[in-house]
Amino acid sequence: MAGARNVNNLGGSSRNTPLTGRVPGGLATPLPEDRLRYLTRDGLAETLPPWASYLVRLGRHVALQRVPGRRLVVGVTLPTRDFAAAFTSLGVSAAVYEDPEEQDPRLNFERIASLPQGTSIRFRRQRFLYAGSLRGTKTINGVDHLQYFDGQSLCSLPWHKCNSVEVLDPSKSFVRRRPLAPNADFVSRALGVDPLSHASVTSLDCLMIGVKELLCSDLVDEPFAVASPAGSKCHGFLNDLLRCDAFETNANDHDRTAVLAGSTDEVPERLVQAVPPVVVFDGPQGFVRLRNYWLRSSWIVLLDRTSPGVAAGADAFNQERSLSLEDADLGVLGVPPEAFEVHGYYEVIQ
Amino acid sequence: MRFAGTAHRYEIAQRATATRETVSSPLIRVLANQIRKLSRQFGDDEVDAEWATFLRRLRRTMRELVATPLSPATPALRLEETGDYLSELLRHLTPAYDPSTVAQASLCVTAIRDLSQSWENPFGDLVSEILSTASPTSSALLIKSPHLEEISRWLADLHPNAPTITEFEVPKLHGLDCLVVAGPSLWFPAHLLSAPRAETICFVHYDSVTDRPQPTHLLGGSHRPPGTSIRTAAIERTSTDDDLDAGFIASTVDWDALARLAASRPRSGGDEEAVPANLFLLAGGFAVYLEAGDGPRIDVVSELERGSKPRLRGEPTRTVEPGNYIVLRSEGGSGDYIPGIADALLGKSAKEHRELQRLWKSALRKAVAERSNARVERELKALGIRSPNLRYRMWSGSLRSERPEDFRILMDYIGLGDQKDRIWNAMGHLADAHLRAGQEVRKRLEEKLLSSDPDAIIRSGRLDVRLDGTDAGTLSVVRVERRAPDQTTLDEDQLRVMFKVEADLWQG
Repeated sequence: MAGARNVNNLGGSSRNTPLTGRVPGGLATPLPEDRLRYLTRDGLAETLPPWASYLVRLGRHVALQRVPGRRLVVGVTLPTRDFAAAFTSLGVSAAVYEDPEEQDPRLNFERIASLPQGTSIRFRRQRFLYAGSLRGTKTINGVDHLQYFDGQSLCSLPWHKCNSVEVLDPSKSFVRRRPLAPNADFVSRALGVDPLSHASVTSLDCLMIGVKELLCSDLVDEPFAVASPAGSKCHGFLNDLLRCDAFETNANDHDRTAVLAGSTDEVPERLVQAVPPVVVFDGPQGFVRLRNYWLRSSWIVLLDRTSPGVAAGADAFNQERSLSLEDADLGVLGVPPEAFEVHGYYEVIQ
Repeated sequence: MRFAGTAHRYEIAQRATATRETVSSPLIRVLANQIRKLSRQFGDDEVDAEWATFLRRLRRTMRELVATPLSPATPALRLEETGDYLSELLRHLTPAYDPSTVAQASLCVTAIRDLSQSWENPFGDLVSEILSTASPTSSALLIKSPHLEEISRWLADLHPNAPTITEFEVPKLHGLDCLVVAGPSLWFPAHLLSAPRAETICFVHYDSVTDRPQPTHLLGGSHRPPGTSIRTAAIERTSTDDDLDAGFIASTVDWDALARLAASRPRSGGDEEAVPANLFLLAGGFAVYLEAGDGPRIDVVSELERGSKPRLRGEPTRTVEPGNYIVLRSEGGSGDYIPGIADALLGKSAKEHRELQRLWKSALRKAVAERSNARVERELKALGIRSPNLRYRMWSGSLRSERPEDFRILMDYIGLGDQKDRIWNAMGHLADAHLRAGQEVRKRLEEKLLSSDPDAIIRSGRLDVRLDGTDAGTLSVVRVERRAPDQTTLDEDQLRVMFKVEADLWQG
């Protein structure tokens, strides 16, 4: 996540965009919850049930609610935790996505060019992810180029193709060239974005805190489908859309969602300092233990009513709520599913 | 297709209805009435230990009867033995107490003796009748009785396709047509109604016990309680003063009695550090103390359900909570099993490394004893250690800090600067061996878990595993059922040691 560019980039008027129609970053209707299909035991592709759609809408709403000096905290109790954090985070992630192709390449060129020679970088070129070692800049035919060594030869990249160049985290393995987005079609149809751009920049769109093994089952093991206007279907996984750092297919993939174990003793420094747009607490353990972090982010607290520690989680939520500024009106999301209990409140950002 | 199963759970949650059916039994009514009268004689007065034992056994007996849809004369209920036990207790109590109280207690014993001869089973008959109207392949009986095996056998004869389940199995259910619950709803988790796993839920219990609804909402100010609530029959018997409140005979834990039992256990007598600890009740009538401070971890099983791959993950002991399945050594030694296996992996060098570990622990404890915890912590911070976490450092199981420079500062501080590199390297060898030992044990335990029936483990709350070729002895994957409300402090050698607790000692 080092070198992440979008960690705090939530400024801009687009944050108050309504829930339907065009949302920030170029996402167009229909929205992901309308496009995604789940697979029945008979292999049929069905539209998402209302509870799943509500969770995507909730994630989007919390991500887009930007009231100066305040943050929104929403608690939801549900009959099961399965897929709840995954769909909520999908709503967040899709809402805050900003296409790197729309960023100013000159600014990024200058940022990267200012780094010391030898810095490892990675970048997208067409359908592939490349890695290299920075060697400075050079003007070729009057055009500024970034120079890097790809392990075999010295290469040059013109400044206007530098949107996606990022520093490669030293902990990531150096792979010279490999395909960028294996489920590109699924991502494109589900999110309505350029899947290669989506996969070419590291960002912290959302932080999920829960039991990694359970989240992995929801995100990586369960196939979903997206229908095209022509009626054909393609399959993929929610992790293709969320790009979680804990469930990377390849060692140096770009991530968009961070996953942290609720039981962790030590929060990594890169996350302590970060201000993710939304933190999704999947279960009471992480909420009870880690709620002193990310006090500048909005939160969604998901509590499975069958979970052993749910009473402690609900008590903590109620206590925070009693000290809050005011309750939040979530009516814009429509009536919550009968199986849910939903409450929200605003807090002053310290 | 897990998602389809989840979607089905939501459909069930939306459609579920809950009802209550009560059953009459004159003999149960007499016992309930006598217990109520006896408890009224004591009122709110504190009772002495002998009466407390008598009342605890009485309540437990009544609870078992109300939770068990079998004939009271069934040998598993051991009512005759209970009658003898209570008579004997009463014989000791007779000379010292108010005769009317003793006479009332005698009536309770007589009622139990009468029940011990009764082969009628109106409770079981009603349970069976309800199940016979439900879908035979999508029904279950939920019980909270200790007589799981006997009830399962009884039900299997009458309804071979309807399993008997425990409350721990309920969250994993994907959705039944009918769930019959033996006992008042107050005794079961609220999620039975707030996150229902069956379209029809029917609570069945004796009419001499009064049930009370539990709140199903968790977030304050909820305008609409989630899930379903119990609808009662149009014509239902009105409860009277003779009835027993379900809360009065609900299972309670005497944590003080458990703590006293733990304190009376034999000690190693070594130079042990006193550490904060939490007391847990485990499935099968066992208890254990686990570290309450930062640092120590314990293996916890996740994904323990049919069709999934159970995994072990290290969790801080302080975050262990009811419902977790933890790994403890139940035979062949006590306490944490990892150091023993790690030492076996290291061979002869282990002894020297352990001596160095003891050396620096002892030096640190001495420094703290001389200068106070706060002062040492402050001075270490001033020397450049960002987070000294002294309690963890003093814990005999901790090895070394993450940052080598922190460790070197600490060694200089406690007067072992001349050996700091040697100790750092030794602790590194131990850390590597602990890691390898943990990985090896986890891998083999996971293999055993994979080849075991997860439903059986969830039902019994325990799986014993012997890992051949290791020094771990017998390890038990065991469910945590309750956690004491207050922390305590005790010596390290008392930690992670399972001990048996007799129900009469602590169970109200």
